Amino acid sequence: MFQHLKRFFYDVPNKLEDIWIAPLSAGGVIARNFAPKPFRHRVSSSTMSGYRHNLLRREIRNLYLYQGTLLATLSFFALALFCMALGLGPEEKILRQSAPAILWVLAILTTLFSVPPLLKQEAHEGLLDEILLHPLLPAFHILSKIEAICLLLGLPLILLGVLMSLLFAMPLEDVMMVSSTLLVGFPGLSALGILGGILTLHARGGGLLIALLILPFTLPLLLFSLSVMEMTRLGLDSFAPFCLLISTSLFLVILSIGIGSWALRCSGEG
Amino acid sequence: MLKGQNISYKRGENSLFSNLSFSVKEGEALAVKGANGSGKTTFLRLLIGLSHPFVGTLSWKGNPLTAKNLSFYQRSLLYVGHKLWLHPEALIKDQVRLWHDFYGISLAKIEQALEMWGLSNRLTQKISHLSQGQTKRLSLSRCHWLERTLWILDEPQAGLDQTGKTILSLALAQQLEKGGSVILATHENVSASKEIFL
Repeated sequence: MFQHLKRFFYDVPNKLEDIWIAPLSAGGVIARNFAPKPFRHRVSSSTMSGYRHNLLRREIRNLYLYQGTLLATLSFFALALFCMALGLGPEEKILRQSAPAILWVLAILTTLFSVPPLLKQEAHEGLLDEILLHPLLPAFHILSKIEAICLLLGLPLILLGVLMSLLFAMPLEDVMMVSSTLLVGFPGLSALGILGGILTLHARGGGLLIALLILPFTLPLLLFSLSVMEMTRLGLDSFAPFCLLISTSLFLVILSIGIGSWALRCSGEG
Repeated sequence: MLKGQNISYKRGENSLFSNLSFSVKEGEALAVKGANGSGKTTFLRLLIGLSHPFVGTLSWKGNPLTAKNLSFYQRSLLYVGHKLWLHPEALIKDQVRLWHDFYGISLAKIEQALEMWGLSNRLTQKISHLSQGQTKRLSLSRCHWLERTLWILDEPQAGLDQTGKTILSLALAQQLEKGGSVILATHENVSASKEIFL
């Protein structure tokens, strides 16, 4: 089993090198002429495989260096949840019913307003030029960033949500369900955060633009996750909305990578 | 190696430069000179494919650069611009690890380059605590460990002391000796094979 998995992860993406080189090789002359002898700028399969694995490690390391910002973001999330719980009053039924929506809305706001500034900071340091000149396609860089944000921001945020759900008098079953919707939906959310960051890199007042451009895309995630919660509460089968939530999240990741790669190339210009 | 013909660039209504032609062969260095605001940085960014649109043709090893083969060309470039791409919150050793992960270059090779640039005893120092010259040295150390055919450097001497400039000259000479090429924007006198004025 492990061998199969290893082969999948190592071999399949190596084929991507052929995809890059193929259009040039098809032309015949270009690929040959572009390869200088004393330098090693052609990416071998093993090097590329190494690049991909290293890239995620680089993003995790890089994000960890912003630990202060991450802690502030998580503190905001916890504080906002606390205030909401206080504001709703002591009525358990109201607290229990409104908790999933509050958790989701705050997760959306926290992600969309904390991820883009991190990207802006990196762009200010000159990361974009490096991404565009890197042997790997920008899509791989965006994917690594999404993965790193899921690991270093998403997981702690979900854990914090589980802890804070005590304030909303949620039964364990509901807590597990809302955490699983967040777990499944967070890749989509972080992808939208990255996309928002890329689209507003050179815009002043980027926060407002993100709200206008990106927030509408989070609605399907919110609606499907709330449907899951509602159907569970009514004792109905929530499999269908859960599957829709997974597919929406995956779709948003793919969409963000596609648009983000194009936008990165455009933002490097001028 | 890299050839540009009749290159013109407009920013809004203002023409930054027009009908520039140049060529850089293997083992040659091209110095780009001009007053502040004359468009040196824009010209260099145009050469690395990060500024569009421009009029004229750029060809690499005899083949005109197009959207299809641009990324292939970019993979043979080393670009050090005004943005030095250093994480301000990182220690130098963290930055080394970030580079190691990003480029897949061995840590030993990067650390060896840092030794050449006189930074090996500052590995535990925060980048935001370094002087301007030291951050420039740190960024330029890429010249020693990132093997690329064509170097495009934007005012590499700015902020460097005499020792730093000597190390840079040695690195440039080494690159040209290996058959690589260098294009650099500069205000200083350098012994480049060719010069272009904007």
